[in-house]
Amino acid sequence: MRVLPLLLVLLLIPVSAQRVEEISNLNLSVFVNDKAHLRYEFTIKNLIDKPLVPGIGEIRLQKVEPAKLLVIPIPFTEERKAVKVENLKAYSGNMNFKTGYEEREGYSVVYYEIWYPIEPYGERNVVLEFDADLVDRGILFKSITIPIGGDMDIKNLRVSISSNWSNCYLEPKELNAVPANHIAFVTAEFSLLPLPLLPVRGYLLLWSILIGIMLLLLIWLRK
Amino acid sequence: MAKEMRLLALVLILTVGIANACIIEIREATFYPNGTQSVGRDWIVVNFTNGYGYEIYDVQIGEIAKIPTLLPGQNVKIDPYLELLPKEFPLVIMAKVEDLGERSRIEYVVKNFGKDMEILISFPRFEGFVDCSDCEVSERINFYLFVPSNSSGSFSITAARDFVIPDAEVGFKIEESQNLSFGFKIPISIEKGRGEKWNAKFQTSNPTDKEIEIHVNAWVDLCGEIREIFNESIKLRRGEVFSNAAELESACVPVFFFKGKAKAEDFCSYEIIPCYKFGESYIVGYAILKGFSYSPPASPTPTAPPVFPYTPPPPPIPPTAVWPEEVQLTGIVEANIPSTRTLPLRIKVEYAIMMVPATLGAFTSMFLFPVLNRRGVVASRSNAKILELLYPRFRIYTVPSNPITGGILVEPDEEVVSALLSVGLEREDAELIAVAIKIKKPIIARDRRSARVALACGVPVIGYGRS
Repeated sequence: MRVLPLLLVLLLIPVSAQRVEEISNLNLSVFVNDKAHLRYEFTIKNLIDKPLVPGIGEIRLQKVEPAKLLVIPIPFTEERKAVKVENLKAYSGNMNFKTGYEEREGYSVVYYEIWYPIEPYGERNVVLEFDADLVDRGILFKSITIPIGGDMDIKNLRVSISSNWSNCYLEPKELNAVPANHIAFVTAEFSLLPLPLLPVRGYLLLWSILIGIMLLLLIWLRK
Repeated sequence: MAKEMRLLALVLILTVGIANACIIEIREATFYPNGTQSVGRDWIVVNFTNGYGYEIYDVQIGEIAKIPTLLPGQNVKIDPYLELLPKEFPLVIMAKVEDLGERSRIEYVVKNFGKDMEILISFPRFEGFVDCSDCEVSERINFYLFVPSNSSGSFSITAARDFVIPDAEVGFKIEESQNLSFGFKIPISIEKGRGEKWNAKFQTSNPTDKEIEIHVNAWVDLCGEIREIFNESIKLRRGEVFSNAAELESACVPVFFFKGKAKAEDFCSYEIIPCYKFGESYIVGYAILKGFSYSPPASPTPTAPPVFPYTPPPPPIPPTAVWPEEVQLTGIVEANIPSTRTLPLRIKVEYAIMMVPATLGAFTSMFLFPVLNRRGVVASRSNAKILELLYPRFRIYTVPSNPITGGILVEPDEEVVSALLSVGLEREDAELIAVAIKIKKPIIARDRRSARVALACGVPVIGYGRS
């Protein structure tokens, strides 16, 4: 029985009416195995004429699954769960940043701290990577949904999601930027079967075919 | 013109000056016009450049940081994640309002209890602003003050009778020094000679322009026997030379060793810079001077006191945000982060499409198949007519003595069959009952007698056949 876990990832960095910083580049590389390895390579750009300290940045992770009666998911119910995170690190060149991970009620927080000032109109490249237990695994399919967004404009966004299985679904095909206070969801599905890139989710297609076959069999048996 | 140049210079120092300090202490601060201040997070970062012209190692910057080695000109930036207990700046800023009838005059007094200080105070231009003294006015109203140690400076703004002064930025920095120590290589030499005895002259010098402490150690290897010559720590002034000599008799050729470690102590610049929080970030170089409003009652009543903002407690450290209640899920489309609790239709539809077959599949596999599997019956060819009605809804099990075509043949336990034969049943009936007991299924009895025996054995009976 498959369930649909929805992952919420919010890249939360300073809130403000007037923008003082932005993410001028974000490369998100995700390798999907039993767990997902997420690597955020991003550039924080100081947009003002004064030195700026980014402070504490957070990425919040949450799995949303239907509530279960034993092993059977109950439709139209939901349970919000924390996501386990391992091998967390953040760095910029030879400067390592303090990182942390907390499981709170219903969600997890990955945070990193940058207390070194960014010069006026300067930039700081940061790499943040970790393994997260957020892959929705089935026998033939596994999928991941990653929202990207936060309180800063994200420009020059590149997302690559890969796996040892064949990629059978990717939505959206192209996502280049996310404005501040918006969120975009990237969903990728991988299959053990050598499927091409499909316009719909592979597991939906498979279930539809199976149900169709079952219906045809029933009709045939009735005759 | 000169004042403007100084102002520009100060702005430049405040904005780009952090690159020149060795240790930067950044302290979140808010000043209130009633003379109070609140301080928040206070932390340190290191920006050290080896400006000595030679390689240094074991650089110890107070208790703040230790750097293993640095080449000449090399710069390191370190965030030691060292947070300090917040301490107030030695500054007091007070505002006083004077009622001039149609206008108001706001006088700010800045008292400096620390070292001499250059201060930039910058207000956004506000509604009701009329004039100011010793200021530069553009989109902002800027004041430059030089306040000597333990004295005060002042400036004033003329505004409309009623006014609201917005929050201002206060730029300054406090310069102190930080002691540091480091090791470095010194030139050493050994002159070895032989007269009547073997002799060696050891020499080193202080190549720096400051006093250094050196630890020198010399020894000799006499064909495997190690003998120490001297081992001492001394201080060398600028350009001073240390030398020592040794003489010894030896049958074999001695090998002399000389080791010197130099350590110097120095200072580097330590700057304390204010900052203020903007969203979750911190803008460095400036503190906030809170604004206030003033609205005197109509004359002839006495002048109303200005409304100063209250001094809040220091902000919590570190800042923590709360998880937004919900996030609106709209696929790739943008959604505001703080959003409603309802799921969008697209997600619901996708969820339903997934859940219906998934639930059906689970139900079929977990309940339907087992139930269907239980719907079996044990029969023989004698019951062929009724079996036509039951098939395919029931699975048909049959017996070896009179099997029915299409049935699943089950071999009965012979002991049970023998026992049932002993009570007078025919072999076909005995086998039917024995198989039913074995696989726990009902039978279609051929007659009343076999039905009674089956019931006595706990086997459900579908009555059919001869009475």
